[in-house]
Amino acid sequence: MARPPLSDDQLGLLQGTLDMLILQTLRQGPAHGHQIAVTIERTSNDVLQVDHGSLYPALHRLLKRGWITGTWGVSTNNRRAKFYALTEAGRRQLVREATKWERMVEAVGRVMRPAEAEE
Amino acid sequence: MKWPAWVYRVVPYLGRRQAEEDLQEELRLHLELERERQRDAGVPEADARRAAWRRLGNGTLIRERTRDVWGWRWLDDLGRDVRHAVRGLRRSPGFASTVMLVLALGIGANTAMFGIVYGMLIRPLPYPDAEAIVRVGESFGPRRELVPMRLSNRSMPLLQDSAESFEQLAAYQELSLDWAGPDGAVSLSGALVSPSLFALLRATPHLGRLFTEEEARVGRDRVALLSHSAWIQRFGANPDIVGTPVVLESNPYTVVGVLSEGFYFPNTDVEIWTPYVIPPFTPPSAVGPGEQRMLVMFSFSALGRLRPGVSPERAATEARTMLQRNSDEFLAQAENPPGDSPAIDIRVVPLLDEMVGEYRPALLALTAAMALVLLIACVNVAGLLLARGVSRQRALAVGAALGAGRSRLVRQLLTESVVLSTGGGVLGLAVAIVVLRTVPALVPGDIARLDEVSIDGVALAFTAGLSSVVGLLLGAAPAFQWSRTDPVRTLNEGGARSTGGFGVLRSNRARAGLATAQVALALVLLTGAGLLLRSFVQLITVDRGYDPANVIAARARNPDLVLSRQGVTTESMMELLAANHRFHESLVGEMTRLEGLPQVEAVGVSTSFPLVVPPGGAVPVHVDGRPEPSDPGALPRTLVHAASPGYFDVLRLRIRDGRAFTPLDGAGGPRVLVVNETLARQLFGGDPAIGQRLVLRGPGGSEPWEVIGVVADVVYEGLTLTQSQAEAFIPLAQAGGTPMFGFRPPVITVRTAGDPLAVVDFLGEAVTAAYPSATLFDVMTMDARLSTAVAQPRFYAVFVGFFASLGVFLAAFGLYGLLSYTVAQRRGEIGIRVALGAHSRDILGLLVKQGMRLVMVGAFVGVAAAAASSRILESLLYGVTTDDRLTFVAAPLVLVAVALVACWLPARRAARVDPMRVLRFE
Repeated sequence: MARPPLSDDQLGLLQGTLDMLILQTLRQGPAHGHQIAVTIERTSNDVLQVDHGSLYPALHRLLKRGWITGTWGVSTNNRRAKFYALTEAGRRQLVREATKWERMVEAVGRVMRPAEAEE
Repeated sequence: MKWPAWVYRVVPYLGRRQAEEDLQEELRLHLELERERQRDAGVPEADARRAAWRRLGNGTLIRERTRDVWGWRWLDDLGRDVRHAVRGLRRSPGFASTVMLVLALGIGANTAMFGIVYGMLIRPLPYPDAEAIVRVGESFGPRRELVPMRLSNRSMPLLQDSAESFEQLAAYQELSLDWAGPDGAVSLSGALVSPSLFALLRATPHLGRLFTEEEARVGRDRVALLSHSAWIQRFGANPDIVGTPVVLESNPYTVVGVLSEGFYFPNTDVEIWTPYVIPPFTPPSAVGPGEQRMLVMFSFSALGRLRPGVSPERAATEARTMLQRNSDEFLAQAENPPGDSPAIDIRVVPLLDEMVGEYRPALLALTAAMALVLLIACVNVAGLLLARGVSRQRALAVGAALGAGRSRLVRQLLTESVVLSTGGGVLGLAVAIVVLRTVPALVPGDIARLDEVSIDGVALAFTAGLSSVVGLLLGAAPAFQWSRTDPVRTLNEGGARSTGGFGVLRSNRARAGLATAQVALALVLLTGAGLLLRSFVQLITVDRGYDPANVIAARARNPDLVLSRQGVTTESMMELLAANHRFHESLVGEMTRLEGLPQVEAVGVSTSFPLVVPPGGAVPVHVDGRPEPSDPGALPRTLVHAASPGYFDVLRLRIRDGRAFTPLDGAGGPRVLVVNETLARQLFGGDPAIGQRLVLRGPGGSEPWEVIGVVADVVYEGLTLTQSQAEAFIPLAQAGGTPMFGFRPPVITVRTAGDPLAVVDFLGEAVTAAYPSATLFDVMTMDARLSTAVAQPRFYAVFVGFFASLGVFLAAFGLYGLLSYTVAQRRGEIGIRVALGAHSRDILGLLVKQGMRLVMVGAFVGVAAAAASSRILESLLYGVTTDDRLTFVAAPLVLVAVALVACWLPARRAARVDPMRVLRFE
């Protein structure tokens, strides 16, 4: 196994949610690949574990769709890094995905906690 | 290199290397940062690095998956497939080179043919809006089909003034001009043109100016324009050429300009243009000898530019209506032949059609032949690929067992065939270039635009397209074959030979089908070649009514016998006619002296001669004593030749009845004429013609001519006698003063005992003696003229014959391959049969029979296909019908004979199989 096993309170990412999380992360400003991964993990209090191997194909997929741009720049500790930034189209896409996500969470929640209504 | 972002999206490959490097660097940075993070979290240095690696995972996989995102996977796969295919083909160089060579022939022949068809028929002429440029021609009388596209000085001004269909009209006339250059006299290829011609063609000058309308008048017309290449080659690209005097035909001209580079008209040879002064038309009121009204018209080639949206048909209709409305009584009579409705026929034909239209049927037929060659080549190669496919089934089955997708394997097969066809295409391009370099030189005659044909971008695109299509089609055969086999069975059978029955058909059905198809296709080609060959043989052996051997014919030009361009009066016409007659008389006198030479058998002077000059227009003829029909247009018509007595001996015309002329039938004697059999039959049916008297409505007034002889029909025009034509001969001595022969240079002819070229010098002397400034031209033996006349049919026969032999060879090669393969496959069985007592003769017979069964099926299909398609050759055949029985019997026989050899060779090998060795080996 290439990846460290996940502990009980850590979650692997659902298929398709990585794209959304990347876009969401970039809303706060441009970032390079490692920053994005770290930010997602940190923001989720290390609950969400980004598969670093999937990160780069995902970034390039978003690039190709025109939702983000990538430009080479210099990182805070003076290293050449490729910074990704959200485009206008990416912003719109994020809104769409977030809406979809919320509806899904709500729907899953209703299924998972039907008792609440009865109590 | 940095491109705009959209370029990368459209052509992802451009940024590929850069993107790969970028990704590599991103991943490196990621690892570094992750390692630092782990270290900062307290993980020991060595573990931090490993942990970072572990979190990232397989770098190659990431790169691959990212590449998938980029959409380059197909490119990688393709590259791999191509490399794989090339490697595989390298291992069997014999197979690969054979396939590529066969394909190169097919693709090359078709590329060359496409180059020719495109360059000649399709590529627009190099003039702006060239599709609106038309040739305009008119014709009078019943022989309109023989009149070339010429317009008269009567019709041109009428059309210019009032025809609305034409934006512009221009006259032109090609001629050669003697130029007194710095190194002596040079003959330049030139053209007289209306000043409007350049505007019509939208030409622009490189230097100086074009002609003005005023320069088309007598006195102002001593100006000249040079072609760009003539300016460079003849005048050293002199930048001050404008205004320079030049001497043309001993007259001073001034160069007023140089045309832009690449401009040509009417053909690429023309180096110099001078204004064409259209002589004013003299209405037919002038009264000539014998109270005949004379109609003098000048005619020339004419070009028109149609107004936008006007079709050639509409322009022709308008012009016809206009000219008919304006034709007066005389013209109406002259122009209204019996049974024909339009008095004047006007034709308006797109310039391109006029230039190359006549070659269209031939090109179509040759294209079809080339397509057949390619088809045969493809079928042949498909057979080879199938054979290769069989031996490779195991490799493919292993691939399938290892998890290669079926579509992936099929793609690999297709890639291989496309690689082969691409190689074939590249070689084919070389073949095409060689063909295009050599063929125009081999093609006889002056074919418009052929010299401009080249392999250009369009032809390259055609080759590329053709190669890919061929490659995909070829790959489909083994791919289909493969997709129907079961890999498990293939592997289970192992190396053991399949155990079908002993039969070519049963075990190699697909290949047998291909071999049969090749035989059929080759037979179609061979039949076509046979028809063309038969037609050619027919052409050189056909009886034209005269004997061309040992005859030389030339023409004598008298520079003083020209109609003035400033207009013609009755007096000037009479004077010229008399001078013309005197010239003829002295020519006959001088020529008769040659009869004293030992090698001379007969001499003749005439106004027309087979393969040299056709006779002039047809005249109405009336039998003296019979009641005149009320409608003069109802009279039969005949062509009239004027000839000296020797004419009949030179041509060895067959006198059917009566006699030919003698020197006694002179100017003062009774008027006599000789008719040909067709005219005699038309006028008198079976009754004797001798002694009858005919009135010719044309030459020499209404006095009748007495028929003294009947000669057999002669082919004057075209290659064979397609339609018998009424003809009459009058003595040259009695033709004096008849304007119908015009002022065309007379033909002088000699029949010799030996080589006719030996008397050329005497001909020149005779002409000069007859008139000091007269010159001899168009000197050629009749054999040479005949050979030139049949050169094109000969070329077609040789050309198609060559490719037909190639097709037959390929078909034989295919059969040979198939049978050799079968023999190799069946060695064991053959060995058993021999061991069980079969004679080698039986084995031989068995195999040959198997092969010949395929041949017979192919031949049968081929004959049917040839019969259905041979009509395409119709316009190229002379004296042979497209269902010629001899050809349809001989071609299959030839093919079957060749096929027999192709079957016999491998069969003989089989028959020599040593059973002991084979069985031990097994």
